[in-house]
Amino acid sequence: MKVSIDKNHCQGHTMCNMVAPELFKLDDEDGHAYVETSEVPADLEAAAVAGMNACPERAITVEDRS
Amino acid sequence: MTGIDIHSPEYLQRTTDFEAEVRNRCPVQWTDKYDGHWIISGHRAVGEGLRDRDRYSTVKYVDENGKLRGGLTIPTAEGYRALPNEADPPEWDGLRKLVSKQFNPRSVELLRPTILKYTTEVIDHMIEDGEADFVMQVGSPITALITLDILGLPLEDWRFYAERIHQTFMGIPGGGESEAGIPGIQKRLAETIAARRSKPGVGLIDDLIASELDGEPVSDEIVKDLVYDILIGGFDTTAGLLAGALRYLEDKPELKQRLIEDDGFLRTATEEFLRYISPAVGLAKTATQDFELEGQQIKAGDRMWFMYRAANWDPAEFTDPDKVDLERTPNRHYAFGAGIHRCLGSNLARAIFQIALRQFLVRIPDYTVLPDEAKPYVFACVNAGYAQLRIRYTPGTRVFEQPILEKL
Repeated sequence: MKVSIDKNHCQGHTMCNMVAPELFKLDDEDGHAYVETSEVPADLEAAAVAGMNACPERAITVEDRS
Repeated sequence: MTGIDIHSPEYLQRTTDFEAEVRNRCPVQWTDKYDGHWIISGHRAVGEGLRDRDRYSTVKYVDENGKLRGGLTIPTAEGYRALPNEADPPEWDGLRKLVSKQFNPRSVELLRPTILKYTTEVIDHMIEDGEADFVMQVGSPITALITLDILGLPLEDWRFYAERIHQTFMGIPGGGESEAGIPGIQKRLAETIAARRSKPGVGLIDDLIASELDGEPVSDEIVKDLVYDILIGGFDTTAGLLAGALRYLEDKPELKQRLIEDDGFLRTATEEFLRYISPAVGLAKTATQDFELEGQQIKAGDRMWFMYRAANWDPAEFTDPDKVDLERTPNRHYAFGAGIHRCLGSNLARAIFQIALRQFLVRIPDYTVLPDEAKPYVFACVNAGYAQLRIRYTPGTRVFEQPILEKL
């Protein structure tokens, strides 16, 4: 599974970080979300989907290639 | 043509029922009131509109007939410009950058001791009395003192600003009574900024005075407009959220206890109170080009009224939206708006709400609301706060031996 955040759409609501802090981190400068790696570890797949569903900007995309 | 009036007494009385009727009729509809404007009330349409960076403007301007148009309210409010809210890209980008760092999650984390300090101070001032007005003795002073501390403005001035900001929610905008308090704030800010430019203090206001925009020093005028936006954004919204939550929790001791003990529950509950109460009920934008929104033909220059709370109560997005579910997830509410003008202070608002709510519930666990003395704001379509909310409780004891302010 792959996850990506559209930097042009993220506005720093922090909702993804609230539901899945182990996957979605917040930038120290602007508070916008980022992921350390686009490959989602198997045990965090549900967290990735939860983060996508939490985003009011629809800025998070999850691709399931399996 | 329909004649929905967003400032009607009926809206004030029926609030969310009124919004539901508007939304059920059509999520995007025209009204001929206030020179004509669109009303956007469905969750999907509100989200699409707010996220659209290119086809909307929030700038205030004078039209070809010399009439003030645009801005965040309908009718257009006079006597101020709020930045970066009333700016469009590319001007918006630089302005937002000037103020965003102070309100990012990391900065807010560092503000937690400050939030706790002022919450303790404010509750100290009323806890021995047994009866208080939650608005002017708890919610407003907490949010006001924290905001003034961040800005570096005198704490003693909190009532000066709070009373004038309250007044802007007490009538219809556009040159009337509701704007009577604005010149006083504008004058005091202008004087303070001029004084601080020659003799700097410690606060965001001094950081802004010392900062640059496009390689030039930021003007006093822009500093004033940035500070004004922070004042109107910071004072009444979080206070309204606290008042609404306490009203809901009044007779629910199990929920109160869980909110005190369970951090995760407090976090999801915060989002649900934000959705359910929607302290910022609605705001305006202006279309900058012709386009279609949910089948309606929008024309360049059309004024658009976005009902945040109606979107937050849309059954197409939320199951049983009129029910409070403190574990609701996902909860894609627009209480803070969305898109580039997403509430700058959202992280701070959450932290203040969580710290103040817990402190209040721990120190004043048995409060009751005196229902006859709960008075909502008259200007119902913008702010879901109260002008007054009297409460009664068993008197408690002060925490600070030495108060920060002798008198609130």
